[in-house]
Amino acid sequence: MALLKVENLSVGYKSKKGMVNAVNNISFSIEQGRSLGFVGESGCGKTTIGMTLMGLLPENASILKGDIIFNGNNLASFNDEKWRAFRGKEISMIFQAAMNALNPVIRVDEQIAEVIQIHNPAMSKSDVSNQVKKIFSLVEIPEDRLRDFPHQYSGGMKQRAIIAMALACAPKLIIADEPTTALDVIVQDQILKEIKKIQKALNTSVIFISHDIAVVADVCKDICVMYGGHIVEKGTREEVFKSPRHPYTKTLLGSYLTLDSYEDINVPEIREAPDLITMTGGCRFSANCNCKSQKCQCQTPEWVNLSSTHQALCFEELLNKDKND
Amino acid sequence: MKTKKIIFNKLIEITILFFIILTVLFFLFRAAPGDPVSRMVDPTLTPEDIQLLIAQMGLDEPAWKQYIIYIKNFFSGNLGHSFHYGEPVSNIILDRMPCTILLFTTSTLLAAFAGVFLGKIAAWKKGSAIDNVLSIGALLCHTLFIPWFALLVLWAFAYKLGWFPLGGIISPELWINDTSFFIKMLDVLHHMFLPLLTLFFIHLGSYLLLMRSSMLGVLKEEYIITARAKGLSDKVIRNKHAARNAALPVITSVGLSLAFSINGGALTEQIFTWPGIGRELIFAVSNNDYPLAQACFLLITAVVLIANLIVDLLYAYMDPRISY
Ligand SMILES: Nc1ncnc2c1ncn2[C@@H]1O[C@H](COP(=O)(O)OP(=O)(O)O)[C@@H](O)[C@H]1O
Ligand SMILES: [Mg+2]
Repeated sequence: MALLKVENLSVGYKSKKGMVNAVNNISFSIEQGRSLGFVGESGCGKTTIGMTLMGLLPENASILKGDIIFNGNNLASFNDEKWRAFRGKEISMIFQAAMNALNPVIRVDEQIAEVIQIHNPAMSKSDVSNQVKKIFSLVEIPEDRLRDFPHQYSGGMKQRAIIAMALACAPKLIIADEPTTALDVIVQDQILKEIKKIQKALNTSVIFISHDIAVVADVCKDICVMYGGHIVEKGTREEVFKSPRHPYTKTLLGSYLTLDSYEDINVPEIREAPDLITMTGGCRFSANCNCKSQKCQCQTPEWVNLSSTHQALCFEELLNKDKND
Repeated sequence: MKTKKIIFNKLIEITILFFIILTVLFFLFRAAPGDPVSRMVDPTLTPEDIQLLIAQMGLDEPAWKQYIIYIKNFFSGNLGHSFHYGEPVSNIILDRMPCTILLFTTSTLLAAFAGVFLGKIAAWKKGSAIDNVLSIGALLCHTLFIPWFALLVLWAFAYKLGWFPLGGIISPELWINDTSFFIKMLDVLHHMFLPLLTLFFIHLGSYLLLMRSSMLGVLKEEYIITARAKGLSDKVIRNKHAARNAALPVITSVGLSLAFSINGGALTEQIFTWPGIGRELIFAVSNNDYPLAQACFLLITAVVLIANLIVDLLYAYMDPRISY
């Protein structure tokens, strides 16, 4: 059985202009010990998915429909009490260090100790501090830096501390939302290695969110490509990378890679951001797509199976037409 | 150690500032219109007598000479004699000082603690009935016209209801007799209650509003989401992760307002006839009693500088990112 199974999930934000349909009818699942990547441009709903899975949506947001089954529990029906006991223990989140995710006035070790303490109230102080030391050595922060304040850390060390915080209670699933976005390339590389190493060592499942498809492909075996609140293509990393089928996936790859193999692909150019408030029912990418099909604008696209693991949200004849070009 | 060096440097800084202010004050007073002698209304004084008096006070010397004498005396602990009381200024100051410190530190600290506590709750329950009541109440406190409010309090609780004395700091009869220390303390508290209440409400509003807005800002910070993601309880998030950060600006404000409270508090002291520095200052300035007025201002300067030093150190202690 899958560790996490999300079915037909829609999440919306109430706003003055109307309901922002940030996440639309998405389904995915992840097995224990696997890594799943979400990639897509800024505003496509990646963080909304992460926050939904953590029960941390802001007040104006609500789950419009769908089920989130984690280890047999439906998270969509959790109350505050249940969420509190769940967060940080079963699922935890790695935030961006550059975004001030560590409290500036509390020592780093204390910020990690408090997660362990709250979920293991019976644990003695010395056991907690031993556990903190163990986690620090796992993320390779020297022990003499334990008592530091966050501002004494470099960007990379802060990110390691945040990873340590997420690992503290050995959760079954870790959600990493753009954990390396603000880091320079070398540090980013180290942190990605760290995440991969830990994932293997602890057999944790990881949902990895990034706007950078190269980063996602580095960490994740399976990839979901998102556009305008929809998952538009999913498959293994090889499938999505080597034979992208959805026009948006091609755009995304085209913008990151200028390898010869992509030069001859007919890559659409993004001209406008999708409107998340009006629901036409048609494909949200249609305004930017090269297919120029009337059908796309009014008819809901369907999942086209390309292999047992590879699917794209489009129309079969259009996908095939593109292939014949 | 490092902190010792920091404190040492700060002390030097403060000393220099103090002497600059001392100098400015000295010449400002000499430049002000009016002379002290004309206020000692005694129609029998002849012009010769007046000249003599002026000479006795050292006021016939040029200003720079007076200044040198003043500085010399200052270092020997002599702040001069009050023109009005004829007593050494230091005696008068030492007598009034404790009253002012007692009243203002108590009221400022009480108001700051209450403001932090209530502001924290208002921000946490933003938009609720509690928040509305606290915010509007704070705004009212903030806009209070001090003399009006002080007089109202005095009229209602002292004059109409008679619960509290009309002024002063002690009931003399208790101090002539051999009363126990405890009774005397109660007597002082009884006298202090109304001015304390006045100053408390005057300061409460701004601390509450400051804490509320600071807390609202902190609650939007990413580390609050991190704290929630850990599964911490609301109480821990509010008090440990949010309030500590949010209280930092309030600490600065306490330091600043301690300065203003002594000046602004002069009115309160005046109305409640509280025998403090503020009241003495009003008296000294309006009577051109230079030595006394100057000493009062110097004292306020010293208090402000020291309060700022304490605030700096406290801030550094509370916010590990600060190092001077
Ligand atoms: N609190 C909010 N209120 C209203 N709209 C929001 C809010 N948060 C996000 N959105 C909107 O939801 C969409 C998805 O946002 P998000 O999940 O943050 O995207 P991503 O993480 O992929 O950049 C965006 O269009 C964004 O404007
Ligand atoms: Mg995001």
